[in-house]
Amino acid sequence: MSGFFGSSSRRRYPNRYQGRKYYRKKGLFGMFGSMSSSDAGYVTYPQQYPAQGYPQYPQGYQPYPQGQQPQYPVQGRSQQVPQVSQPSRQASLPAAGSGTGAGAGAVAGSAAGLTCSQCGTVVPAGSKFCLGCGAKMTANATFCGNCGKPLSPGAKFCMECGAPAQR
Amino acid sequence: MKKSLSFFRFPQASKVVRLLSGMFCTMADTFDAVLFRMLVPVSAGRRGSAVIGGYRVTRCLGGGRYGMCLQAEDPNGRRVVLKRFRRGMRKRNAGGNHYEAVILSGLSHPAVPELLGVINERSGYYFVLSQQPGITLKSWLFDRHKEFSRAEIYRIGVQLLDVLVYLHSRSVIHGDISLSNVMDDGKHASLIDFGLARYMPTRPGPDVRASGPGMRSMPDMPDAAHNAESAVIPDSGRIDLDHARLADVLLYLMYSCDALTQRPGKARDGNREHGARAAKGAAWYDELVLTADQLRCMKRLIGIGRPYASTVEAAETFRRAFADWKQ
Repeated sequence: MSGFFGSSSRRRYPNRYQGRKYYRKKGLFGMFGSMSSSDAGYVTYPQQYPAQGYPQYPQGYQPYPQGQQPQYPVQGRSQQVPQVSQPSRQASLPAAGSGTGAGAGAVAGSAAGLTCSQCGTVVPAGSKFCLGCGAKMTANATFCGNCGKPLSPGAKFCMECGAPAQR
Repeated sequence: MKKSLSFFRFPQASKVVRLLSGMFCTMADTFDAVLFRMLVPVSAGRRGSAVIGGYRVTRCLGGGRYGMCLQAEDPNGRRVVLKRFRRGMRKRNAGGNHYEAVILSGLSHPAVPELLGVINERSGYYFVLSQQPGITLKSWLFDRHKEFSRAEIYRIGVQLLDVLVYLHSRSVIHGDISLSNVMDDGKHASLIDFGLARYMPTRPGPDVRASGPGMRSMPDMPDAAHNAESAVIPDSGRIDLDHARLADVLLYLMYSCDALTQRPGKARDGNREHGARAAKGAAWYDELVLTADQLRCMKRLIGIGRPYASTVEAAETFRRAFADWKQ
């Protein structure tokens, strides 16, 4: 009986860091969403594009202790980031260090790319068009002249090879 | 007791669920295809009647795992290709769908299709791409049964290597060079389908070296020479994948050339270099009539032996080795 009711079961959670989410993703109700009232807080993952070679910090990593983040003076032109109709899509993406003038169809810059002003989709850096509605986003399509990889909006240097961005 | 309760283990249930999920996705894709047929009539009888995002659909070019390709015309009469994605594929590959759009946005080469737009409407999700001239090498070989001459093989090899030099200089790995993804019109060869294209990793680890663990050994090469060749493995970030796939395409073309193959009846004339060794089931380097330089070049491209450290080196070596095929 041990291993079924007791907590000594070793094989119940193959990955101890995933816990019960392991089965929640793969289980029958993982396809249709949770039907349990206790799992009401479970939401699907927002669509986000993987960073294209940029350094990734592990989940929950904070470079500075809470409340001790250093305050830097504003460098260059600051820009107000307007409200977007679908905040959940960009909630998990890091905010841009400095928003630049984006151009038609673009609203705000982030490490992953710009946000489309028409549909609110976060467009991956480098794409000429919004992948949600197809709006043209020429300001988003900037590439490194040295290595050819896409530059994040507002970047002054390529994160891959370090070459200065040519604008 | 423990065995009897093993039924309750979740991983077994998840296998059933995975099977059901696969069936559900297949049904959803079938439903999607039926819906698309209803919304976009592209059959021969109703040709040109469908308009998708301002483009008039003229015919269906073909399909694959990702979806299907339609030929269409823009209002100015320019021919474009609408690449339609299956809904299931878009959802299953949600994290990798954007690579094709991003990579094509950063490329500008006559032998590479240009991304002209994105359409997201009721009938489906499409990429609008410029149409490359000609038909695929697969159609040339297997539909039209064309026999490529040495000069044509040289031209296609050089042009594709030029495209690869450009792509690799932009840190792009195509990853899916095949007969179906190379277009040729008799003068220009071009590369299509960047669905599996990716950027080169910044710092390649042991799994992305130019020669992987599955590197085969040459049967006719002495061990000492083989070890000396493979002693230094260049670290060039998966360019060997494109090299090997390109060599595979070129070998198909070489097999279509009658002068390069050794069939049993033709090996008697005595003019073949490796006529005595050619036998049924022999390897390509025993069957094809190639010079030693050409064999070495093809073997290095395909990964038997030390791979090329750069595509520029590979292109120069190919030009030199196959120079006598040039007309």
